[in-house]
Amino acid sequence: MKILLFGRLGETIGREIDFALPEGGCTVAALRAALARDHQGLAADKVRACIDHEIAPETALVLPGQEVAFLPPLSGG
Amino acid sequence: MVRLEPGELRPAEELERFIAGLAGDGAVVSFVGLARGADAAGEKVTGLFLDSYPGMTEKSLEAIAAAARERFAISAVQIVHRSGAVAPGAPIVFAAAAARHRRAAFEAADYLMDRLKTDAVFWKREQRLDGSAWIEPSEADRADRARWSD
Repeated sequence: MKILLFGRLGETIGREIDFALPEGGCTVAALRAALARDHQGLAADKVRACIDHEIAPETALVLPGQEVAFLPPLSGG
Repeated sequence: MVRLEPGELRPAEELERFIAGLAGDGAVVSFVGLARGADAAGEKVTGLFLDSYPGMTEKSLEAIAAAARERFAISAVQIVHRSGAVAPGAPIVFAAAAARHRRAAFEAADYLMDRLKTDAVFWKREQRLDGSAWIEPSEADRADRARWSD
């Protein structure tokens, strides 16, 4: 599964990172913890997870086929 | 109602098109935001880059436009927002509201901009002479947004 990154995260880590999602999915918290091992910037509280264009809580389940992104704080328009 | 514009934003054309689509309104208020040539500390900014999340950014603009429609007695709203590289002095956002009477149009345009400054899905990087920096909404932006909390 590709995880999308934007803003400062996209610039420092890359626009996309690959993640081997377990067959039954995993929580946002587990996904974040796994990715943060290599990319510490994703561990910050102010970096929000997003599933299919909706901000998702840490308890939300990430399932195969969904679009998942991590968003740094918005700058606004 | 909303558009993300990767190319040049031409406010006069946007306003003309918006007015041409109206029927029976008595007031239009529009706002044009320009990329500033200096940052909050007064340092020269040589360019701005607006990162966006295709799909989600448009959705955030639509939500802001829809909230304005619901909140004020207006008949139409238009938001056009730049993405990508924007030169200092160039238009970055066009926001307009149309109503039967002017008060609602003024208020709605003010509301649109306050919401856009904090809730629109954009990440802004300022290019300065000594490097670049990603920026976040200021306390003033948050205070402006809080004016409309219900």
